[in-house]
Order: sequence, then C-alpha cells, then structure tokens
Amino acid sequence: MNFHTYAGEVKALDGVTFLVKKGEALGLVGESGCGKSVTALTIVGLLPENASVAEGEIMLEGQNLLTITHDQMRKVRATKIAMVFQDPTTFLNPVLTIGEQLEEVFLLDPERLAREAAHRNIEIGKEEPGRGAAVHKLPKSQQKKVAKALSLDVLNQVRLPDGERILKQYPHELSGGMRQRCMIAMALARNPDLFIADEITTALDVTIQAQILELLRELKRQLSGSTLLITHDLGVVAELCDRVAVMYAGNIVELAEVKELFANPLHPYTQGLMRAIPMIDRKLERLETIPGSVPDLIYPPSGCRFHPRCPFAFEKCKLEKPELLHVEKGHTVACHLYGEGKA
Amino acid sequence: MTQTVLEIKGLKKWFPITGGLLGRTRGYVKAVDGVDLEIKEGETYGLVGESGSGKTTVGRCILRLIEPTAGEIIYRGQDITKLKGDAFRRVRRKFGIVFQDPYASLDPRQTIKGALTEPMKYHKILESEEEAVEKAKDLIKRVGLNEDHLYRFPHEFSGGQRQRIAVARALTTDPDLVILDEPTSFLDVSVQAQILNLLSDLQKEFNLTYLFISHNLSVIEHMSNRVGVMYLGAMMEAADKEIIYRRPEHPYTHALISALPIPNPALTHERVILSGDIPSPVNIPSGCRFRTRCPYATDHCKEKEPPLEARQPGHLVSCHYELKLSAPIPLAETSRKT
Amino acid sequence: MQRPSTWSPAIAEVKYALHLLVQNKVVLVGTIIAVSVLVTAAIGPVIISPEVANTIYLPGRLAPPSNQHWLGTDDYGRDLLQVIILSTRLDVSAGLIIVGTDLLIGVLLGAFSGFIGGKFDEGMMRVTDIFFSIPGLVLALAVAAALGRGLNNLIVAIIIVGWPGYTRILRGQVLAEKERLYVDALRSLGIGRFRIILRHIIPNTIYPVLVQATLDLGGIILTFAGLSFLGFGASALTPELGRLITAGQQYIFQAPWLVAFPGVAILIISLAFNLMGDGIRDVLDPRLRR
Repeated sequence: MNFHTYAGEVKALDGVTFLVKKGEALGLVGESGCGKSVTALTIVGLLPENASVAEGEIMLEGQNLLTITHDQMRKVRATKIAMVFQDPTTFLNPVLTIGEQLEEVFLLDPERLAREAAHRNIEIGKEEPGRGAAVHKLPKSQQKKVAKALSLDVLNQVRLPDGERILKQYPHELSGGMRQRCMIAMALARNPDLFIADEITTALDVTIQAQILELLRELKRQLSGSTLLITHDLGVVAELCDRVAVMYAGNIVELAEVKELFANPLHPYTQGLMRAIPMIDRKLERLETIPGSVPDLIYPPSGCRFHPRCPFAFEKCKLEKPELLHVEKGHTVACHLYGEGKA
Repeated sequence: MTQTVLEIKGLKKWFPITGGLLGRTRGYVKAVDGVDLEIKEGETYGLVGESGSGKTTVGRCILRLIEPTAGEIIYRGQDITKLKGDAFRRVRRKFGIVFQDPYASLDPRQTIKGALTEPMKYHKILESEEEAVEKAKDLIKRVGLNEDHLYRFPHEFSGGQRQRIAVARALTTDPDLVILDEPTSFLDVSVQAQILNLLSDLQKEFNLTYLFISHNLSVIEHMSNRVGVMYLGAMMEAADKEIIYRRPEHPYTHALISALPIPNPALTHERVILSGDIPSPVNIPSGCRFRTRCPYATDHCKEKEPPLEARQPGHLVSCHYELKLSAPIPLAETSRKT
Repeated sequence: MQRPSTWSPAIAEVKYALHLLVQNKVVLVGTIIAVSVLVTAAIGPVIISPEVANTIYLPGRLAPPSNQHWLGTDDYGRDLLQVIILSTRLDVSAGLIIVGTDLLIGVLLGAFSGFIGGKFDEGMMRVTDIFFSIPGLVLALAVAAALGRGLNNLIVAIIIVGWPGYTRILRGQVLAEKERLYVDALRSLGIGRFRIILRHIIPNTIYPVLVQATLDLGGIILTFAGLSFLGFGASALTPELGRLITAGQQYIFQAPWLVAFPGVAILIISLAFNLMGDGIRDVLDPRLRR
C-alpha cells in the first residue's frame, strides 16, 4: 500500500502477510516508519486520503475487508473490530461525557441491546415484555437504559468500579490512566472479535503502564476475542503476546511464538534490535547498534529492504526480495540466510 | 576524593496559579518541592521519575531557563542562583544541554554550521570565522556526521542525526557538566543505542559529567553511576545504581523498578502494582507525598514528611520506616550474588 | 539514495507555495496583473518621458479617446494614457514605501515587545490600543492636515497610521515562538536576547506579517490615491491617479473619461494586489499554523 505525496510515492507496505488466530494476542513490533500503524489503519479502513491499497486482501471471518462497501465496513467497525490508540486525549470527544460516548457505541448495535434487554429481564415498558427474538429494536429510551447498564458493566471490566460517577465525567477530568481505560472500555463495548491496540501504553507513566498491562492480561484471560497489539516496546510484547511479528520498512521479516522469538531470533534485524535494547542485568559497556538508518520509503533499497544495514548481506540480498518461509515449529523468517539451505 | 561538580540544596520551583477577578494567587503548582542532590566529577547521575516528578524542571532550573523559587545551586563551590550578567554568562558556558525533542531544538532556518559556530563566536571563545568553522568541523565529525552536513538545514536530518547535532552544539562551549533531558525518548531503539554509545564515548574523551534525566529505567540503568528517584517534586531515594535496582529501600523505587516490562518472556515475576493515579502537583498529599499509593502507609505518614536521610553513606532515603523489600526484578542467573 | 533537498527551508516553501499558487486561476490572473503593474511602474518613466506630465498643450485639451490619444486628453492637454502610466510609478512606489516602512517599524517593535514583555510590552500595547481606537482614515486625514500638503507628508501620515497593525501581528507570533524549544536551547547556550530576537525569532515569525503586507498593499494604494483625491499629497500637475480624478471631477459630464480611466486604473491595481495577497495567504495559511 502506498502514500501519494508531493515528494513522491511512499511505498509504505510491501507485501504484509500474517494471520491472527482466534483468542490469541499477536504482537506487531517495529520501529517508527516500519508500517505497523499503517497496517492497522488499513485493516480498519481509516487511511488518509492520499493513501491507496495497491493489492492484497484482508480477510476477517471470510469477508474481504478491502472489497466490501462503506456501509458494510461501518458495520464491521461497529461490531467486529475495535481499535484503541496511543493518545486518549485525541480519541475521546472532549465535549461529551464518558457516559454519552459509551452510549453512542452501544446504540450502534440496537439488535444487541434488544437481546441484552431480554436476557437481563430489563423493564422495557408495557408493551411486548420479553418478546426476545421477535423484538429487534427497542424504543430509544429503552435502548438508553440498556446501554447504561452495559456501560457500567464494561467500566467494571476495566477496573473502574466507580462507574456511576465516571459516566458523568468529561475526559479532561480524568487522569491519563483512567482515560486509557475508558478507551479500552469503549473498545470492549463492541464485544469485538478483533481488538487492535496501537501503542496504547507508550504515552503512559511506568507505574500506570503496569496497571494497564495487568488489566490487559486479565481481559485476555476472560474474553474470547483476538488482539493485535502494536508496539515498539519488546518488554510489552514479552508480557502480553502469544505470537510476535517483527516488521521492518513495510515488510514482515520474522514471525514466531513469543518465547521462541526471544530465545532464538533468526532475522538479523530482530537480532540487532534485541541487542540494542538496554536491559537491566546485562553488563554492557556499549550497546550493539544496527549501523545506518531506516530507509527512505520513496526510494527503498532493492531486493531485501534490510540489506544495506545487514551484517550478513550477500549478492542475492540486493537482487531478490526474500519470501516469508517457515523454518521450524511455527517460526517463519524472510531472509535469504534461511531459504533453500543457504545458511 | 573526587570533586563535586554540582550540588543542589533545597531547590524549589513553585508556579503560581492565578485566578479570579483580581488575579490573585490561588495556589501553586509545586513542580519542584525541596530537592537535594550531588553530582561528582566524571560521573553520570541519573534522575528518574514519572510525569509530575519535576525532574525536567530541575534541569531547567540548573540552567536558569526557569528561575528557582528557593534553594541553592552550587557549581564547583559557587552558588549560581544569584549571579547576573557577565558573571553568569561565564558560568553558563560550563553547562551544556541536550533536549528531548530533536525536531524542535534546532532553529529550522539556520544551517548546522551557523548553529554550531554561533555560540563560539558569541562568547568570543574563538575569534575568527575560520577557527570557529574548524572547530565545528571537528565536532561534527566527532559525533558521527560529515563535514558537508554543516551546510545543510535541520529538516534534512533524521531524529537521531539531529540529536547528534544537538550533542555537538552542547560541546561547542567546552562544557563541564552536560544535562541530558530525555535525549533518546523520541528516538527508535536502534537509534537510541547509537546515541547512548556516542554519549558514553564522549564522556570519556572530554571528561564530562552528566546529569541524565529520563523516565526510561533501562536506559538509566545502562548509563548511570548514581541514581536519584523523584516523585511529585521531591527526592525519594538516591544511591548508587546497583542499590537502587537491586536493594531499594523506598517503596516507590521498588514499585517503579518492578513495573518495568522485561523483554524476556522466560522470566516472570510478581509485580508491584501501585493503586490509584499520580496526584497532581497542585495538591500534594500532606506528610509523605507518596502515602496515597504506598502499600505500607500508616497514619504517621499522613502527618509528617520524612526527611531525606543517609541510611548508609551514599544511600539516601526519604521514608519513615526501614522496610525490607524483595528484589524488584528477577535475576537472570540464580547464582548471582547480592 | 539521497533526495536532492539542500534548499533552505524558506526556498523550499516558496517553491511549494508557487506550485499551489499556480493552481488557483483567479489568484493567478490577479498575480499576473499585479506583476504587470509592477513592471509598468518600473519602466513607465523610462519609456515615457516624465516631461510629458509637465507639458501643457491647451489646444488639445479634453479630447475624447481617439487613435492618436487612446484614452483621450486631460484638461492640460496631456495624453491620458501616458499620464496614467507615469502615475503608476508614483502610486505603486508610495504604496511600497508606506507598507515597507510600516513593516520595518512593526516588526522591530513587535518582536522586542513580545519577547521582552514586561512594562515595555504593556506600554506598547496601550499605545497601539490608542491608535486602534481611532478609525484609520480619519487619523490619516488629521495627521496629513496637520503636516500640510505635499507627497512626503501624506506618505508619512499613512505610515503613522499603519504600523500598529503589524506590531500586533508580529507580537502575537513572537509570543508563541519564544516558547519553542530552540529558543530555550539558544538561551541555555548563553546567547543574548538581542541576538535571539534579530537572528532567530524575526526570521521565523515574519511570514504572516509579510502575507498581511501584500494583502494591505492594494488597500494602501487605494487610501493614498483617495487622500490625494481629497487634496492632500500631490499637487496639480504631478502624475498621480487620485489627483487625476480630482482634476477630472469638474468635467465629469463633458469628458467622463477623465474620471473613468484613472478610476479603473486604481481599481485594477488595488484589485490585482488584493488577489495576489489573497492567493499568497490561502496558499501559506495552513502551513502557517506551525
């Protein structure tokens, strides 16, 4: 997928392939400019105007998200996918209370509200009490009642027990950590099949981040949906994810189960990345660095996009882009070192 | 006995909040509320804290970009808080600073050559244009860039490169103490590694003393000799790095270190999760400011603020109780000795 | 792979601005006309001798447009077209001088006022407030009347009225700019305020004011011509558009071209500069929000 800019075509994504299994958390790791956020935005269909998808498909439970209509996409966003961003201040509407915003989300799915009403035996007025399946839409006022009950539930889920009070508050009245929880609540409100979290802990203080990570771990245990966790922090990945995909310059270069990846990184970029992180406990005078810098995606390097910085690069790397190949037990790498026995 | 380069005593910076019709002062944002610290020659002092801790404000007060409300800042024996004019300018040359945001710390309309030679010429360190340019060339090479980069503009460089330029600029006045205010927070991991290595190398080459301010505990652990932990404007604990990361005695330090996500899924540990949020610096809790989140707080903590005292030489703690806390992070090899 | 971009940011922006400018047709037309006006002003007195203005040929006066005199003659017998061309130089340069001087004063005062703050800033704000409380035209009239007739006096009068506007704009920009990180960096290097203001702040904040100045140019020329029309400024024979209209008033029924053509000329000039200014502002506006 590409961006069209005044300066040239930015070839942001160059053949990204991965899948997320039901109930698992897949981490998408990479540095800035690698395309991880762009991938997420493409999935949700929120790319800016100057972007276009050149080719590919995004299959969500059998539906190709790139070919459905706008209306269908909106329905998908309302009920199947939820995305949470790094900065809760820009995500939450400052002029609406938390309660109003949560309500908005629930009202997007009136059928669900009707089902919940019947399920919980909530009073729905004098007409047609509990007609269940026959009642697809409740009158607005009833919808709001159900929505409020569901809101309190979801706030509880994100460990904000003081729900009644929070519903009445505006985003700026809450702290960063609480806002982040509200954002997660709004995402959970949709009961999504896929939960995309884009750098949600990056802007938080360490102790607050610990709280949110704890919360996410809990939620992962309780809920059945899948998560796509986008981050540049390998520590977060180690904490939360089942499998990890490493991205570089618009490509996925390695994908494996999390323990396997950390124990046995195969791609030179992954190896370099891990050695460059200062870790408590490693007595190093100097950190190992990856020479050079991230390539300009308007004029990306030929062949393997990492070859100019790779300590193991050879002729083939300049000419041919490596495919993502399976090496062993679910561990795939896109590197010529591991293809066709060329190690 | 190594010389003390910088000593701070009782530093306070209160920002008044005005309000109401008459513009009266309604309260204060107590960004820095009584900080003591001491940095010795050649060492790197890491100042850690979360938002609201006041660590960045401390850095700015040292340079008097903000005027301290109270306290002394003693540079090599001289209190610089009261200096003015030429005398102050002479002292200011001895400090260098690298800011957090590489995209904003350089004048976008000035060439790199201009940015580097300007301080030299202004302070008359080097008289002629040629000499200044020579030194600029030297510095730019020393930070890993080329001579012809001098003739370019900031927007042509990446974040990491701009930070290198910022480092070069900090060195133009031959400083003694360099304040590094979150120098790698905006940079990618791989670039961060390059910059940290550069800083280490330069420290050895020019015999620099660093005040490294950051919220990133891994970076601080890698770079520092001594560490000071700040919370809501005051110092909670200060000690050598080993002690802070392995045997902290203040509950906040303990929680902070244990909260760090470790990039190693093979290690799991019991994390200390603090309850609640960081209070606002406008409403600092009475007594010990950490008590609202402290798992060990008692009524006594509400009444009296604990002073920062040396429990052992070089290990200062601000807490009423001597707590025996577990190791905050798991050790990779069980054979590691404490 | 290096992208060729060693232009100074100012030049790169200008290039991008021109790229956008060309896309808006109306603005493009305005700009072309404005540039033609400037060219006329520059070369006018070169191709047409200034003496033409002083040459009185009464027998040929008040002649309607013809092949010989495309726009007719005025009541001194001068060819109207030639006189109008000569006048452009006067009006346009008056406009440029006025706007230029106001810019200079406004930028310097605004920058120091905004950066240094304190009592100086307070005082400056009150002074500009006073100026703003009096309608510009009225003030210009009053000052012009006080100074007496004459071109230079009129120019000074309009200058006096115009500077507070730029001061305010620039001060606003400077207030924002001085909070930026590179200013802190410069201060921490020990560089003095004077130098920071002159070499760093002003070059970075001058854009919006320059844009405002180009927008104002049209209006200033109009004001200048208008006040000249009222009798200030230019004297009888001086080739100046406002003056021409004054002279032509009395003959409005016999020789309407004497009023019409200079009027249209003023219209074209000020409209052209306005459009050009508009275009520059539209093009630069979103990018001004830095």
